[in-house]
Amino acid sequence: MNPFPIVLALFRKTWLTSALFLLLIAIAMALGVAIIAQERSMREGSARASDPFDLIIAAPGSRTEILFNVVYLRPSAVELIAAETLSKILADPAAEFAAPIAFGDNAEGFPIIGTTRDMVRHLTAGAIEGAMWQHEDDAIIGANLPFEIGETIHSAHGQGGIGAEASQQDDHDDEDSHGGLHVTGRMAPTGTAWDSAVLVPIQYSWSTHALMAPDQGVPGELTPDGPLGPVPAVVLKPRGLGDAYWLRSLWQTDRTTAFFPAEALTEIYAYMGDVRRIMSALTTATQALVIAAILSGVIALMQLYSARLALLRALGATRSYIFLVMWIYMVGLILAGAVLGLASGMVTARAISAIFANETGLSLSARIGWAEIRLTLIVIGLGALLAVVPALTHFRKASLSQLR
Amino acid sequence: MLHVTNLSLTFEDAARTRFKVLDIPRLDARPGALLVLTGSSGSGKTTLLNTLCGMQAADEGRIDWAGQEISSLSETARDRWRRDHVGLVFQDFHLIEELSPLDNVLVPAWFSRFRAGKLRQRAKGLLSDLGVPASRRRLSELSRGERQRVALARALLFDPQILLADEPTASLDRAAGAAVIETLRRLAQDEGRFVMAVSHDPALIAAADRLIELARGRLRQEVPA
Repeated sequence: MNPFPIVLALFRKTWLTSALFLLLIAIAMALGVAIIAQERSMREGSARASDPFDLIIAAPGSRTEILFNVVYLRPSAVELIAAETLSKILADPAAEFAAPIAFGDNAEGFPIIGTTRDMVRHLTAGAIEGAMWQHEDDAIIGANLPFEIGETIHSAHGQGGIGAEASQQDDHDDEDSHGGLHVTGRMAPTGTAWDSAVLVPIQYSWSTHALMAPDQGVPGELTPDGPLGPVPAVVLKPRGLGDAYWLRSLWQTDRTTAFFPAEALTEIYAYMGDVRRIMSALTTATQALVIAAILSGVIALMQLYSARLALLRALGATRSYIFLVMWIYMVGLILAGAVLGLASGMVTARAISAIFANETGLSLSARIGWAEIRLTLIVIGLGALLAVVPALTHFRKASLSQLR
Repeated sequence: MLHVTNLSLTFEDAARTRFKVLDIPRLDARPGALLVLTGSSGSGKTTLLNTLCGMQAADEGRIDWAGQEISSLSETARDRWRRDHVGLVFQDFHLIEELSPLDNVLVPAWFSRFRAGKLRQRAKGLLSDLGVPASRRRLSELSRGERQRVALARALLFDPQILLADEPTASLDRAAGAAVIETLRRLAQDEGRFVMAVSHDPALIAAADRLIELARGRLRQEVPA
């Protein structure tokens, strides 16, 4: 038997209602897919962005907050590590390098990060267009910034970080006292929030906030016994796994906290996972309701179609043929809606990822994963099972009394 | 060819009272003649037609078509028998608007086959024989008379020996009705099929080889045509 010509005729007859049903299924599916894909994209993107930050030492406080400050460059008011402590960290032979991170200022809205040459080389694996800092007011910009090498950009105090600390000590103007930053280089893309940052020698951050006299030492190079200032955080590159845990233990004190970014991310992911589960449960309920509503709609719609089903019976179609026609029609709707929902969910997730990446600088890429495919298969499977209801309804109702 | 004995059927009304709609002790008919069943509205003509072709199961009685006793068959077996042996024509044509005239003729083929195969050629030939222009791709391009001829072609797809028509000319104008009557007459007299039509149409009644009147589910009288 071949029910498809009759199913296609049914689609043509009810194209507007069918299109509406299909759209409802697609929207419900797209919501679920977008939530799953977006959550995974953010989890992967944020984990990737934290890769270069092996171990973070900061003043005691919320690890999540410090992570957001250092890795995702979302500055907030934090306690500073004293210069003496920084000196001890720099002197520790268990670390390949220790890079202080100072934040709190911005250049035309982009965060200015004071750090060291080691950190810049570590982030980019040495891939820098242009030149490293030669002067304290030289700047290396992230790959996403709209500035050009050779351009002069102006800095202003923002909120949080070393800016907040300094503003408590003196009354700064918004304009930089050095008269501007000279862009000398551009980092290769790192896929982190630092692609949208302006990197300056740490001495620049200290001197502009009157924590140190200008032009002390080599820009971006620090020694334990050289001139140092306080910083919000230090990123360490331990020499080995044992060193990493030793350093983490060593700097877990009442004046400092030390942690691997993964520790803080795990807490965030657990929270994100909870939110995703709740959202997914809600969207699953929405999908089930939509399918149930559509099944009811199809049953009602088919009352209008009963004369045709009766005709098929009169012409010799068995009840199983009628059942197949109805079932394939419903499954066709659900299948098309689910696939369209999967595609539009991915498009939505990618659009959200692009917006979020633009705002944060993180490299986010939403893609179809097993979870989305599984959701689609579940919806199709459940729909195919539930489609038996209207099919059976018409299987029984296909009445010949409709014919004249 | 058709032997009906002790056929009875009761329906239930809204008050759950059962009433007899068919009560036919005996009815015999042979192919090769145009048999017209007439009677007032509610006399049971259409119900008899539906029962004879197995669409409606009888409560009691026996219906034999050329030795095939259909009243004892299961519903599915009756469906298959009807598909293979009976052509049906309705007053309102009951064509599927979204299908082409050719595909409408092929609808019964899809109940048992995935591909129409040789039946497609037969369907084209039937449409051509019945005078439906091959250039017409949509039902909306056809007149009512042409539509009824498409329905006739559909009924003849499997070359059935039995053709049952329920008011086949009621929706047609005189000329279109005359063409359908002529086709029914030819199918019966020239091709030797069993053709039974339910009708009030005087023109069809006048063309009948045999006329049976039904009243309250009983064969009231047989009028020589």
